[in-house]
Amino acid sequence: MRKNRFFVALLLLMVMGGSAFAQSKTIVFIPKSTSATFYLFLVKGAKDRAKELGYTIDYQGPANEADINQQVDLVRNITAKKPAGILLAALDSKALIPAVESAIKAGVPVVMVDSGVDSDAPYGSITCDNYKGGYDAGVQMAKLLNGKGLVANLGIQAGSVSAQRSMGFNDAIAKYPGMKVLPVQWTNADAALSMNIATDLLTGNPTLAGFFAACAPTAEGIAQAVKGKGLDKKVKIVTFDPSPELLPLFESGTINAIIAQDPYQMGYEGVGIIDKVVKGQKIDKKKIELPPVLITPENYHTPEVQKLLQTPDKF
Amino acid sequence: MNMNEKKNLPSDKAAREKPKRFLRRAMQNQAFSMFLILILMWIVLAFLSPYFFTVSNIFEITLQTAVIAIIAAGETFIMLEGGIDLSVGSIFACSAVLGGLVFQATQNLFLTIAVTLVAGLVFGLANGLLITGLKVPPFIATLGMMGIARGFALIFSRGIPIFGLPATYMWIGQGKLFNVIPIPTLIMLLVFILAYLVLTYTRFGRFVYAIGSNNEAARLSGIKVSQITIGVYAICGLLCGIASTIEAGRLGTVQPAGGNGYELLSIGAVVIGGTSTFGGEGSIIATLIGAVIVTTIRNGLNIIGVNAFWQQVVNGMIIIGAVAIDQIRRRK
Repeated sequence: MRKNRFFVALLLLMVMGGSAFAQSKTIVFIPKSTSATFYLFLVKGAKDRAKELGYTIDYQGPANEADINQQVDLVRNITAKKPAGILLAALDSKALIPAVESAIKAGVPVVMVDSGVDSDAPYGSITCDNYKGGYDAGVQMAKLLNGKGLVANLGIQAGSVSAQRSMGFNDAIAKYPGMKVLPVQWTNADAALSMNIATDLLTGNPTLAGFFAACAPTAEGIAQAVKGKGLDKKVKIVTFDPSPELLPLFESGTINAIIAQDPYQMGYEGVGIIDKVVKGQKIDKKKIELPPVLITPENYHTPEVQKLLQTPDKF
Repeated sequence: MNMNEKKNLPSDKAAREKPKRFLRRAMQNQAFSMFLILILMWIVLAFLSPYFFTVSNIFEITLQTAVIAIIAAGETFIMLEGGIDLSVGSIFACSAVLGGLVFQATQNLFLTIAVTLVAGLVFGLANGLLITGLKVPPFIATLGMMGIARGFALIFSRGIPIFGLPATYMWIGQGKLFNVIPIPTLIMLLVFILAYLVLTYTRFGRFVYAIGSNNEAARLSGIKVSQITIGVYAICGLLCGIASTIEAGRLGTVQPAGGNGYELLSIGAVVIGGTSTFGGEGSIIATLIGAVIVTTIRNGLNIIGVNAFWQQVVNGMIIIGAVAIDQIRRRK
């Protein structure tokens, strides 16, 4: 009994100890999931700016991108701790609205990064146009295939913000009368599942000429499937995200083009906006939309593109 | 306990045979009927697409099954013993990450594979010790381990996939014997043959069934329940390590987020194969066929070009249908 009481006391102490951020100099970044490499670059940008301005960055998020509820709870719990601000990559543009609005009401500035919410409440949003990135990928695919052929579209998750990428790709392909696209297959950003799906699609459609991958693990799986079928460099691959494991595949020509966002910039600018809110300064531009960049072998070695590559030395 | 009762019902002819031989026969029958369902699916799909029933696609199905089937083999040991392991996907990821880090540091392939397998084994042992030592129910212990192992996979890898595995490593996942039979398929068959022999012909195997049938009776008759329990979780952990070695070889990278949802896929394969969720009853060969059925559905629907949303509906209906047919057969 006594032992139990001791543990309860210890637990209480731990809860109280963790319940408030000292001095409110902490900015919390909540990504869509903690298992995506992409957000590590966003964190890096946020940390670099935080260092300049005297904040620290705390990184907490749901385990996978299907967990919208967990993200909503996380925003509410963190709001209760009154940090200096929250950087949020919303898993859902509607479901997160109430949590974001109540955080702002409670005096915690929220800035959206990567994916926003359909509300004017956040102090700012720095996002990338997922739809346009997918559309650009489609146009590039059509260019690679001279405007004709059958292509496949491997998306992340139906109904999520990232599904915009697959929609953009399909809309672009629809503009070319000589091109056809198979129904979108959803991969949950899982490399092994993507590899299996890509192999099956190649088996069932021997004329398949190209693949769109909505994210890096999916592209990795497609690349191995294409190699396994002996179709390396014959079947074209266009993907999102210049992740470190994709770069060797791009350099060898297995992957033909990559759509890049600028997560570092999102984190860097996001912290800047929170700092301005904290100091009561005016925010020049509330909504910043960073254009997606198309990486091809032609522009790969330019400094602008090299800056966007997600190599491990950039952490 | 209910094992013999149930199985004695089916036919008079079988009941006249000796109980032990009959038990083995019934288990073979269960696997056999699942196999017939599988063949039926293959025939239907062969009519729907000319690309489905080819030698290369049938081997492709076995290749795509290998990873889940090997994990499901481990899960079968545990479920026969009356437990459950929810942490297989996370153990799978974490042991691969640890192996991958050793590879980055040493470039030594043998060491890489050894570390992956040992890591899987250690996680499995930890599960077994939590369950027997601290008396944490299997569901809770492995649910906790699911989070712990996944967390460590992300911590150790810093969330970045490990890449640059050499061609020799990738041979494990992509190589083919005589240019036809995939290496993962061979590894899978070897695992299942060994598992079958262990479960059927060793004392350990019989104790697994005995504990699953009636834990208390097994304990009273002098079986060291704790040792057997630790054993089945260790086997499952080791098999997760083997499966993750294959997957890393297939993909050429180690994904710290990989193996997500594999617990459901592997438990699904075990249950579709007819193993009782209460333990004591089931067949390892039926698990293999259950896993092949799950892969066949996805492979077949992709090849005939079914829309992704409809695939989920059809997938669910086929699984319920297959198990329903098996139930009807059992009642006869």
